[in-house]
Amino acid sequence: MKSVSQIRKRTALIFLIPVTIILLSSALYPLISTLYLSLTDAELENFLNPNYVGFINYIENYEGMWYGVLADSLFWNSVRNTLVFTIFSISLEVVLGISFALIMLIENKLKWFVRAAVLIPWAIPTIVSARMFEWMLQDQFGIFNYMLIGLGILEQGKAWTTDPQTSMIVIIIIDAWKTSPFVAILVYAGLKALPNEVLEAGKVDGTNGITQFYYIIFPLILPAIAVAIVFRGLDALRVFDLIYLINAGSKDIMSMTVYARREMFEYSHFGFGAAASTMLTLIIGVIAVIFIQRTRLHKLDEME
Amino acid sequence: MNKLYDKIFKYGLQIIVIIFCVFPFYYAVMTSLEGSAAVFVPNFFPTEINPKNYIYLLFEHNFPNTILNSLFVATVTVSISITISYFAAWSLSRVNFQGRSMFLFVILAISMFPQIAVLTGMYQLFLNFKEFYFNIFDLRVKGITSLLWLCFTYTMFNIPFTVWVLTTFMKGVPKEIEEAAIVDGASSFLILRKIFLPIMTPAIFTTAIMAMIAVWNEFLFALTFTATNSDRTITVGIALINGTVEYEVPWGSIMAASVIVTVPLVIITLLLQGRIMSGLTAGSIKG
Repeated sequence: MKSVSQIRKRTALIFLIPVTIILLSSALYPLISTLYLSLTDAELENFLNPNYVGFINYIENYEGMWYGVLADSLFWNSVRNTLVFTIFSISLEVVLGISFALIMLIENKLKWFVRAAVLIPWAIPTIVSARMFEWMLQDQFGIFNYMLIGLGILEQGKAWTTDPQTSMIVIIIIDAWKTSPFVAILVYAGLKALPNEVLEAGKVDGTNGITQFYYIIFPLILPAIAVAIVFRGLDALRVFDLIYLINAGSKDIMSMTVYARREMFEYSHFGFGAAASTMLTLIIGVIAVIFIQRTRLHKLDEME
Repeated sequence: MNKLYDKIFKYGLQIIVIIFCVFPFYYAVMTSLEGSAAVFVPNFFPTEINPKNYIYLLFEHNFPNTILNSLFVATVTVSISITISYFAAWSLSRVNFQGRSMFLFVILAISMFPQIAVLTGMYQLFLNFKEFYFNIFDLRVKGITSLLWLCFTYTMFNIPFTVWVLTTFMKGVPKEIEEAAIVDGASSFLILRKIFLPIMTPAIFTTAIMAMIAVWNEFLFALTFTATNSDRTITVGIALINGTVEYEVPWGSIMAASVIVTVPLVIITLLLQGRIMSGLTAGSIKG
């Protein structure tokens, strides 16, 4: 007769079959076929039966001119935009997230309201937050320009979302508004997990709160912050909806995902778009591996 | 005196955070309640209450339909992914077998995938699916092809998350609870139904709500795989609200749509505040 643990192991494997099937059919298969399609001439007409063409979607020298994703300045422009977006939005979110988390720790009558308010931006769909900010920043009737004019800072309304100089800043701010709460919640949980004495130590010496925080609390919540950065970073690197909604065609803010999707569904260059997606995946993969190595996040399990 | 300053300072900080987080939503609610003339006068408090924007959405726009579509996709997706993940979570949290951490690692890696990485392959699969589906079923049910396809793709993007969170929650259940049942010779299936289900219900509920919010908010796939007015989901629906006159953006209606879509989420989130916070942290920290 089989032992109980053997039966349990067998049952466990059976229970994992559905997950495995779904992940193989809906993640691995499309991933591989995207890789393959990036090596074909797939367009709308021959999408189900494309021809293999090698690496020309990536790079090709034709009569002295370079073609392909890697030779497209718009692609590199979108890479740059994505990196700028990621670095600045995450820096802002970490600073805001930590500040919010510390404010969430304050024990008084407003405590519940702070914790509730912080969750609201997180629950609001990106499309809705994009539209809300677009409306507040609208050049003629937007409340933001109205306030600035009232304060005498501006003479007339500014089109913040379409101005090439400000559109990236606007997008970073909308993203920070929407996702700082997520960082705040992770950091707050990290702070809550600390022994009470650590938090008390910071309170006693109230005059030097910032130094205390920097030297005592910050190192202890660094793992929580690192986790938040990884999650947010991977999210930011694949940013799509926000940028697509604010200004889909603008090359000042176009992200890698917007670039790849545009090639596929606006120009029907599916092979080329697949090559762009593959490059994007590679870039994100390399950044993720470097970051995880650097922060030793893969050892987080052992730290528990 | 110093203490009073300290108190005021703390309240001040809290109020700044509350205003920062709530103001954009408040402003959307306010705009949505104003008639067409008042919308275009900037102010902080509503000058009138006019349901015009909501009435326009409900009767002249395809909006109710998009809500039904989103509800359909969210319900199907979440039921399937939660059921499958519940069993998988038990395997991954309570049983020691070779390759367990490898399996968890792969799941985490997939959850971090950029959706665009699979989009081309997914689209090709979609065209094949459509052809196959059209050959089997008659015209009457063709309308939901895209929605069924969305259910499939969302299930895939939800499963890594739901498996991960449920595994973390299940790890927290004390061993003794299960051991007694094992000694009694109960099958794993019975243990999962009779012992874990009651304990796990709150966690399952939280996970389901979070998965539902994720589906509700998804945009890239919804935009790619829905092509007609009848099969749009809410996010695409809002993105496509346009005025009757070109260059005239109907901000009142857009804000009304945003409010309709967001209010249920905000209410759920506020009611389940503590649970969602623990769900969010289970989804990332422990992993």
